[in-house]
Amino acid sequence: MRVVFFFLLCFALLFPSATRSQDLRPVDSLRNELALAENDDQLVALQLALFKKLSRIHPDSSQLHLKQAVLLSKRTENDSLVGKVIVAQIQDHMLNNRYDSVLHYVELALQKRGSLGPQQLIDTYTMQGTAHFYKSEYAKAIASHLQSEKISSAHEMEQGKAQVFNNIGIAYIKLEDWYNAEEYMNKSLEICKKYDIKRGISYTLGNLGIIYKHLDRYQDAIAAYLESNVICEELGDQRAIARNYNNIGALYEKEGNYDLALEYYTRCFNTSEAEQYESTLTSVLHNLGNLYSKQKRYTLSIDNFEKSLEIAKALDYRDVVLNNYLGLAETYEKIGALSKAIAHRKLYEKWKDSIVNEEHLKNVSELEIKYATEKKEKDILALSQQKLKDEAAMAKQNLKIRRLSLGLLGAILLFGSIFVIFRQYSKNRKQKELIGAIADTQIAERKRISQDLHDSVGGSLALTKNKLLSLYEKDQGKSKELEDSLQTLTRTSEQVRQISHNLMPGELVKFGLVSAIQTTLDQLQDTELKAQLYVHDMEGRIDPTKEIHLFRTLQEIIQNVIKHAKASQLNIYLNRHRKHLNLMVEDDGLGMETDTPSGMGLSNIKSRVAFLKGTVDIDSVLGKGTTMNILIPL
Amino acid sequence: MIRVALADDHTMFREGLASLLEEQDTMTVIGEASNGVEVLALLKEAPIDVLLLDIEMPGMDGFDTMRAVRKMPNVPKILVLTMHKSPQFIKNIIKAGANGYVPKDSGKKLLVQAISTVHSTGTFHTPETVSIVMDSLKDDKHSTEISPREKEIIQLIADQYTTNEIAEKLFLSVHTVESHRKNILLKLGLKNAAGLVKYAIHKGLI
Repeated sequence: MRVVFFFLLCFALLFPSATRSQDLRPVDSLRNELALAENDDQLVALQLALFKKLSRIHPDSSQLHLKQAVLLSKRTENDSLVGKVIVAQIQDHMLNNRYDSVLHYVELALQKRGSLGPQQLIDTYTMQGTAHFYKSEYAKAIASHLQSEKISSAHEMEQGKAQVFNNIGIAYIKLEDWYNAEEYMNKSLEICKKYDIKRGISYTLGNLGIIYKHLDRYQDAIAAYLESNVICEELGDQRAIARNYNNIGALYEKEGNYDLALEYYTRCFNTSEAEQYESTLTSVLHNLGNLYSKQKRYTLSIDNFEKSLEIAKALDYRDVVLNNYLGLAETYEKIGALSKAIAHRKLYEKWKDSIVNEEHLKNVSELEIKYATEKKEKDILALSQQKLKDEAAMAKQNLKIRRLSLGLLGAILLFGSIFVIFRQYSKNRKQKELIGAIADTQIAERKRISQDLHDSVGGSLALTKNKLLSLYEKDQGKSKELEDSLQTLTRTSEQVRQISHNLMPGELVKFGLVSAIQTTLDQLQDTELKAQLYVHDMEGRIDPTKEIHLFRTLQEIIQNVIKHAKASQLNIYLNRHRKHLNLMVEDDGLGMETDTPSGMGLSNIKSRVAFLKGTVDIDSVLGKGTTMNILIPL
Repeated sequence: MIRVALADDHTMFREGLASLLEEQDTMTVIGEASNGVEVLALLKEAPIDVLLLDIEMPGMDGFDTMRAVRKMPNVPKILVLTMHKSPQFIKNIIKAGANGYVPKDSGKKLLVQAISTVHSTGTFHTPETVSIVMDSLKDDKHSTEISPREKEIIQLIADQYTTNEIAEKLFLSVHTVESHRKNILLKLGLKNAAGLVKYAIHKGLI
């Protein structure tokens, strides 16, 4: 709910030549000239001119002209024409967002750089930089744009530098290097103002707004947006004006000036609604929802979130949908409408899950997963612990209520207090449900990541290894490099398997608790610790959530024993009784002082057991080992 | 010519595998499936000699597929090809009726050998698989027996110690001793302490 949307404005002109040396001849006369052309060189030049003329109006026929130009250019020996054709091809790929092709043709063009004029060379580097930018390769983008700048300086083409500096600035924004970003953006602004490039001024000011916001210079940011709006007014660019209002509102909100924030959001809303700028509308409605929620005007808040949600769904803006669900969940929580809060929280988790689902394979890395897992673990535990605290506080409150009612009046007040207790109880129950909902989706998410890692990533690694093995056999072990690669691959596979297993053991999902415990004990085989598992009536499966929490609890206990107990024997009992499950773990280690404040391990165990509504006894005497006795209702 | 079918939900892996196998003169890939349902459809279409089957597939997984395939009229030889390597998985794969098991990253040579062997002899297992299954048979860590601690408690109960006294003697809480007592009765199918004493005498514990 703390998400406020800012728009990053990219002032990256994709068609630089369009601003200058525009061919003024109309399309028809160019076509007539085609018939009259005397040689291939003239033809190529005319085809190129037609391609440029038509590329934004008639993409299809412009493509044909480009193809003609490419074919003809193969026959010509005029290097400068060939260069021009390649640059046109780059522009074509750029317009169609084919960034890899752009980069490929840029390389070709640079091989013939001798035949390119300075403007063409600048354009080529600019497009290279822009392609890198869209591929999120920001450092490379900056390097390319700096090449453009060098050539512009050498040829004293100052005006063009406005765009180059701006492009460098936005790359620094993406790199979150705010100081460099500011420097280049200011350079760009200076040139734009000198040559009165209005569009440039408005974009650059917008980008400066983003930079100042991140530097916590809110007043400067607001001033930049306001100045930008003056220019936009002149240009008649209502869309930019609406976005700027939204950003100003967000800045005032950050400053805590809710009245002004509301005013600017409302201006943005009015403009966006009148002009039907849907993407701006969904964003500002979300921001309004947040603001109203902060002002405790909950009905308005919910109303705005709902409206934003509807538009965001239609536009398929998933992150906005997600944030609206979160906003609704939190607002419903604040007004105590807990069942609605839970419903929206579930939707939030579901959408988050589906977004993660689509994206996670792209950026799976060991560190990220480890970090996220630990953090989530802590979040769940923190929530459960908070719940324990709440329960304690509630118990105290209940006692007070009871004393009061007994002490003051008889039956009537007694009824009253029962009512209050009942309400508290049901509130508490809802809170438990909320925690459960979060924990469940997280378990599901983890299961999925674990399976994808194991199967998708693992499978691809296995296939690669098989191919490499075949190569290795053909090579008869001559290449040391091949051997090293094979070893690295084998280690990587093993690591992936281990990470996947840590996230969610496959045995637990497929075969249940006993199999998962056996696998864990198998891994202890080569250690000093002898482990034995005693089970009774565990052939059938139990509730998967219970299985997972019990397994994690046991893992935690075993970790503790290995780390601290210096035990030689570990016995685990898992017995299914009629109405409960008994998990007991005894070791013959050093034992511990049970009344000392418990470490993270012990409190994790307690939280998990509390989450399953169970009880845990820890019996330990220094030098006499430790027994953990856990009962979970079935 | 051995007629092989592949079942794996990862297209890339399946295609890689198919091209590896097509290089062999002795076998041909006659069908591919991305889940259990598709495997059953393939089987209805044409006879298959060897089915290379993955375990993790969406919907109907490898275990479900094996169960369903066993009920079909022409049961192919099933060679499970999986990423899973833990003894628990291997045991369950053999139990579910697989004719052989090969880890996905074993290399082409072993895979080709496995397909030929399972086709001609009906089973294929590497020495590693055999030793894992044997180990799990002789050294099963999960035991339904009475533990030393439980024996100790049976003895003390038979010696007429109260729960409190047992707890004190063994440095345990009353709760834990009580849990042990309930577990012992449950495991031995007994109702009360009297039954326990009888059992202890019968077993020569006291």
